[in-house]
Amino acid sequence: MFKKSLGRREMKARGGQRSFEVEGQRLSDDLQENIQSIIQSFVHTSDLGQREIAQVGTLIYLESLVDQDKIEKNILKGLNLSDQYLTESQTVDHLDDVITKMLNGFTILLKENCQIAYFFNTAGYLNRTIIEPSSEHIIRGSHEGFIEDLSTNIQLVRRLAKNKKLVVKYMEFGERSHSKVAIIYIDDLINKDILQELEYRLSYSKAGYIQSPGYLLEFIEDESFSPFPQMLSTERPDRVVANLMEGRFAIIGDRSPIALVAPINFFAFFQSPDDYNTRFFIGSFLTLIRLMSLYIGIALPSLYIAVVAFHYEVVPYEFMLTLKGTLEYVPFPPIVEAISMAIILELISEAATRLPGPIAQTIGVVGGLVIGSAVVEANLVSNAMIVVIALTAIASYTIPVTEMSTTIRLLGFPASLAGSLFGFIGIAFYMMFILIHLCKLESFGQPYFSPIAPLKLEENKDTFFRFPIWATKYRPSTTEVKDIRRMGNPRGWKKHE
Amino acid sequence: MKKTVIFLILCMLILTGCWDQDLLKDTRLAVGVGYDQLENGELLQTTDIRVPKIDSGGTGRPAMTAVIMKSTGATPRQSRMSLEKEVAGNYAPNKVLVYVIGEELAKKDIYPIFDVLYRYPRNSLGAKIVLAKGRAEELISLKIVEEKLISDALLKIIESGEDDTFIPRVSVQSVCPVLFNAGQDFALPKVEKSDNDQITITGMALFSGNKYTGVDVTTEDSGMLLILNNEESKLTRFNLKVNPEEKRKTNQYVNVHIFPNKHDIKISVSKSNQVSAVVRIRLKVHVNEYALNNLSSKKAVESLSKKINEQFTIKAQEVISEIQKANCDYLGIGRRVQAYYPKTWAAMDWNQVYPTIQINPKVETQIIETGIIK
Amino acid sequence: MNEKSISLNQMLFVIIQAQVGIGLLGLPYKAQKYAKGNSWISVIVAWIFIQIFIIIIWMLMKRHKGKTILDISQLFLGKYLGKLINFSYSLYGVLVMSNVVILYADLIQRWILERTPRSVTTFLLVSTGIYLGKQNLRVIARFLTIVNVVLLLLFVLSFFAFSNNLSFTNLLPLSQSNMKEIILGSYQVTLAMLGFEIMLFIFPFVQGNEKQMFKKMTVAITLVMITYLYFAILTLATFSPEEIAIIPEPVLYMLKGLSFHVVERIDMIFLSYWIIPIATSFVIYLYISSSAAAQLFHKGKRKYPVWYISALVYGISFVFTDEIKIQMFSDFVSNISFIFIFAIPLVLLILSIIFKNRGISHN
Repeated sequence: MFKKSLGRREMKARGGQRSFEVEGQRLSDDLQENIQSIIQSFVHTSDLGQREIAQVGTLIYLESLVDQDKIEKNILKGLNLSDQYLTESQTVDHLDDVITKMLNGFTILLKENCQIAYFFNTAGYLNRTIIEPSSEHIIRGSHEGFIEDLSTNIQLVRRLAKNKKLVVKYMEFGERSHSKVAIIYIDDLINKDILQELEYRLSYSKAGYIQSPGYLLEFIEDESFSPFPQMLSTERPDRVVANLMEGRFAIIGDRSPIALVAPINFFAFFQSPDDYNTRFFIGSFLTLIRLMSLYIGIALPSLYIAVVAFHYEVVPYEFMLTLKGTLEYVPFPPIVEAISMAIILELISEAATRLPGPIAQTIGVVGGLVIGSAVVEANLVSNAMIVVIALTAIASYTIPVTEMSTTIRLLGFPASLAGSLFGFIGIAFYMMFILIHLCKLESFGQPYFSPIAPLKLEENKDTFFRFPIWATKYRPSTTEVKDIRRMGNPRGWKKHE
Repeated sequence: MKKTVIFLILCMLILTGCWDQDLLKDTRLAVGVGYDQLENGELLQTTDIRVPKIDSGGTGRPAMTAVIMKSTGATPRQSRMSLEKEVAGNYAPNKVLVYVIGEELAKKDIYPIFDVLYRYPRNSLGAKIVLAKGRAEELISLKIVEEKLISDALLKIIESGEDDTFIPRVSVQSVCPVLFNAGQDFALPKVEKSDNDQITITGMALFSGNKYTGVDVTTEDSGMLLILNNEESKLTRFNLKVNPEEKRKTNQYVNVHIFPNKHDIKISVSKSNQVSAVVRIRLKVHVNEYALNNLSSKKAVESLSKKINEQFTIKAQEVISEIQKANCDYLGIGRRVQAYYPKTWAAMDWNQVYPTIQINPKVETQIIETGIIK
Repeated sequence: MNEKSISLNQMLFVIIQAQVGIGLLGLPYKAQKYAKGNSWISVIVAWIFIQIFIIIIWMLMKRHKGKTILDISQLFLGKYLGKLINFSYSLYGVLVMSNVVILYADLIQRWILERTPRSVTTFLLVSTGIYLGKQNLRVIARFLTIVNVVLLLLFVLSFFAFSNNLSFTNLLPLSQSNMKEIILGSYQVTLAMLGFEIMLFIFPFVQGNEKQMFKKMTVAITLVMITYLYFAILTLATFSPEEIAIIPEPVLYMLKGLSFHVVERIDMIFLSYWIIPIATSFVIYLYISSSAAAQLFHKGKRKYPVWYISALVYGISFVFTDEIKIQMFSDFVSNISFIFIFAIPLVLLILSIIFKNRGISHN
């Protein structure tokens, strides 16, 4: 096993070297040679377009990536109008750069006896319009969402932030596919150590192809073998900007609508922009409900199992009789009931997400009603268990970030197992494990379970309750922001009345 | 390597686990247990077991029915063991609602019956204890009372009796401290099977030490005893004969609803080591029913108040002499002597002394409401 | 920030969690043997004792900033005797951990999981202990801080006990036990409040000046004392003195008989939560034991000792299974603990005062 992996590592190293040699090639004097080497680089692909312009040179581009109109309007017109045009445009002199530019939709102008190539932005992508992200619906507030175009996404962020210290850093990843990634932060808020740590970790991110920021996430997150997401992935610009203002950074990739935010803490996954657009009573109530659903999502099935399999004396007499009645003819132990029912539910939800809307509804009806009632009719699963599992699922869906809600449901399985092995004691130990894990977890060196552990009472103003916005005068200290003060005294007028 | 070990340990736990699993669906729930003394010295255990009816399968809540089973043994645990041989499922006394004790059995020390309840962790300490007139077996064998299964009905009857301040709130747990304490005695609710197969509360059965004295305080007076011990409940009502001179019987009585708002027991020990106690209670009175109907003047109210006070004082004196005769230190006077006069306590035999001491009730009453008419 | 440093408030909670543990459950029972109904006075007396111990520890640690007892012992007793002391601290940790594990296994077996083998319930505790114990001090402190919620929960549950018939005359008369009996009772209470010796090991890592630390240490032990006093009084009022004599876990027993409309058998729920303070006591002593062993054999790295010490404790837990042996072991551990919380720090303090300049010259 060991030898094999070593061999693979060597191969990788060699492969890396080879590609490096190609990168070094410069353009030559000869126009035809340059054209040929570009054609060879693209392995004679058919969508490689060429256009010869008399006395100037040859335009070369990838037909599928450019907008023909732009070539006509901008380049050809410009070339006709004045000789100045070329001197104002940008140039490159490496074959490798030429190819990168072409892959990004640029048009290259090659001239005879010239070792440099001119390039013009003629990218003609089709972008979808800005719509509300389907996974992060809110009731009140902005309905903008990121799309698959990096510059549009950055535009969305900048429009919201309007800060001269907002820094966008482009980076490219992938040796076989150059994916552009933007790192966004606010320079006078973010802690430099965090930024350094990020750059250090990113320097190791070498792969052939980075499809989406999800790849990068797995490369740079602190602990891979943790069920909890350590970076917040969102499609909402307002969420990104709100986090930037707390001294965090965001990573947005080209051709992906997802932004990754770090260093993040556990409770950020339970907050929705909605909370801050409603009155604070409502916001607090909803936050509390979500945290309650966290507990229900993990513990309810296991508590139920522990009660019916171990400690039925805990529930009152009448309720116990009801439970006993529904369980009497079910042939399986409660753990089997729970896990099979939970799996059925996951199947239904997974099937519903993959299918187009109208069919998904049918699946919901068939799955929810038909299977549910049939299973009870056949005494395979008890009524009470259906209620418990359904409640668990609904509770987990209230969590605003999908990743976290799935994590919560996933954590319910071992909990059920612990409950069926040792009753309440098992659940207590399992919960303790999760708590220790949360205490130990860090996101870019910052404690993940903050502000509960380490306990910072001052910062708990939007963990369990959402205090009025004017009460949260300070930014969380866990990101070690440079400027801890969020606002002055917005209610100062009250004193002067 | 590390992961393999963790995996193996997990497998081991899962495959061999569930040592203590006790599935609710496999249990046979005992909800009412009666104990009687047999002539050969053994215990007779009559158990009311809740079982789903045979024809109610499938969805919804199956109807439950009561199965009455009897078993004998030298101790409660032995009779349980012999019962377990008959029961189809795991016999589970974890949720017993009531323990019924037969009169004969109670006349001996009752601690041996309760020992197992205190010793074994899964027993229900919240269960009520009642004393049955005659045999507990007869009571539990009724099976259905007032369209309710016997133990449920019994529990409801006891609970409503507690709310009406007829009987003290007694559970297995609450008896325990008193069983061990020499300075206080307790009383159990007493119920009897009436002629038409119903259950009625007859009063409080007084215990001296851990033995039933055979003396009962009837429901008419038990309220007074409970108030003297500061145990009033939601509703405390009395019918008092305030006008014995009236001809028509209805006119002789007043029905009052009382709210005790002060309770105090003072102990004093004289130089000759004579213990005496004063029980001071203050009662706020609501007049519920007064057929004579002349409460419009202040004077009339005051005179009624005076009569009520007299009646209460008489009642209190009666009930106190009753418990003293039975040698049941229900008011915990011994414990107070123990706490405040430890030397006197150590010097005397409380069981001998208690019936002879002076206990004076001091009742203050005040009519504060006469309903929505004067 | 240093990986090891913790804040003042975290220190407070670490001490509380170190002190509160399995001892609380059996508190009035043990003290009652000697002090009878006056065992609540013993709690207050025990608090005074602990305050004295805390002062000794504080004075010793204050004189040697930045050093744990492991360094100080070598400073004054020489390399070999110092190492012997450190080794004995490691061994002491092992013994206390074994005691916690054994008492816990016994408790669980008697109260909830009757048929589950002790080896399995013990395994659960030890593995959880390892998982937390191998983390650095900061993570441990974070965890110990949040689990104080459990103590609040305990208070909330205990309010239900007021629906029992409480007779506070059980606390009287004050003369039912003499001074000697009360002190013997307070000895038992002190044993249930052990754990503050963690300060010997974490003192240099706390951010804050000595005065603040002394205040927080006092606050910590006072809070623990109030908790214990509250439960002592509550259980004494619930049960008659004669009854407490036969109930080893009065706090649990008090909750057992309560029933409410939503939930019954509160003792089970309570006991499941109470696993957490038990586990934290285990972790505290794992920290003590492993840092002593690490300093001796592993150049201060606690990674390995955590594993083999836990394995050792797991092994020891198999030896003591019946009640009499458990009692003997428990008494033995309790009796030797005074050497480590009181005698050694006192001797070192005296040495430190006599050889004033020793610490400076070595630096």
